[in-house]
Amino acid sequence: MRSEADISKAIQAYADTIRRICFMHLNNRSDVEDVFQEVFLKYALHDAEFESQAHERAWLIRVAINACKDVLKSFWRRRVSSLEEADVTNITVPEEHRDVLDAVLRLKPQKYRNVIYLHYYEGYKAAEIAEILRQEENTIYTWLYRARKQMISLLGGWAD
Amino acid sequence: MKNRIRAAFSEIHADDALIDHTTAYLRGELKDRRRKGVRLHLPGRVGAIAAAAVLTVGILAYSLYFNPVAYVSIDVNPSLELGLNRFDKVISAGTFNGDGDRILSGVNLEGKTYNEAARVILSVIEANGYLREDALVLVTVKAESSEKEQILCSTLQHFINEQVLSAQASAVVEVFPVTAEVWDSAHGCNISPAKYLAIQTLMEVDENATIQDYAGSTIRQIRQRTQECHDAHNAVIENGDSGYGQQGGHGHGHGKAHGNMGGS
Repeated sequence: MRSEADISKAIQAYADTIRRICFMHLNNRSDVEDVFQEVFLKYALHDAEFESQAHERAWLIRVAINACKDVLKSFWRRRVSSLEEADVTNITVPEEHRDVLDAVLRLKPQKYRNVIYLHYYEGYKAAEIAEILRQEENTIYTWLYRARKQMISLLGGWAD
Repeated sequence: MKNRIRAAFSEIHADDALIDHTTAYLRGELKDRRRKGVRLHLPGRVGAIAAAAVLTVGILAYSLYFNPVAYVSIDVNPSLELGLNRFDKVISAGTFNGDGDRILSGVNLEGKTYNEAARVILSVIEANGYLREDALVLVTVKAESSEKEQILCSTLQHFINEQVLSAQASAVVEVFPVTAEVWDSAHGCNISPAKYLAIQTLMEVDENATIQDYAGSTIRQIRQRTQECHDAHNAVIENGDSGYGQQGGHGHGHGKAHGNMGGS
């Protein structure tokens, strides 16, 4: 079991990352809190050493994505399919970013949101995303291609 | 676009309350675990084995009780579904539409037998004005075995008929089993199995119909549309158009078109 200082440091370092993952998938505050608790409890109980900070970050991202998936396994949970449906408790989304975030939340299936986020925000390469999501690298390329295509169609282009 | 995505996600942060709640939860949870960890050494191996045995029995009993083995879906227009355990008790209740939400809000069905739950649901449905004289009550059943499905169907058919009679309504009641495949497909579309079958039947006669188009319609409306398509096809056949004549044969599952349908 990790020390309180270690856990506190991890929460400070990765809370925003976990929040962004929750934002893409969950539509109510209590689910977000549940996922936060689960992710950091697993971290606290994970005794093995991480090879590097990057390894630790990737591990937490994988745990968070899986925790969101577990929440969504319940049939009665409604999927987030637009910015209006997302849980934005204590989040203010500036007007100029609403269309991009809304487009990300409209990506279907939901796994496309993960690859867009991991590649374009976190800066992971396809091989690294494949490692995090436990998929073939070629699969990630396909998902990225299809996700980009959907984004282009939703936003009317891909330019900045 | 990369910059726009980065800028947009940069606006999302974990707020202080979320961090505080998580920290407080972890502090309590880990303290608890540390304390339990220490205690485990005190009674020794025998205590641990006894605890494990109690836990195993507990888990077994829990999984027996809380594992759903059958599902009963009810459509009037409120559309909802009950999960039953092997003791015929309701262990979950969910809805497929807003009318269903209204019916389930304020009633607690968990722990009730399926007949008792059906009685409560029908009385709330009636109180909310859905059980009109010409109402259509559709009930589908999915269970682990066809014997169990038959028992559930015949019991529910009899019981719901009685309820409708005592409500002095003349609703049509149909109760039938559905396959696991239909049940899975319906759930995949977030609609009840009865509505899924009704739309499938409509899709056979209306090539433009899609599940998405009719997911929000009542089953009565879907059946009415199916009947209209049948009528249109029949009119074409009677007028001697051989093109439609090729498609005359039609029959599928439970989606038989009813002649006495009015709009709901």
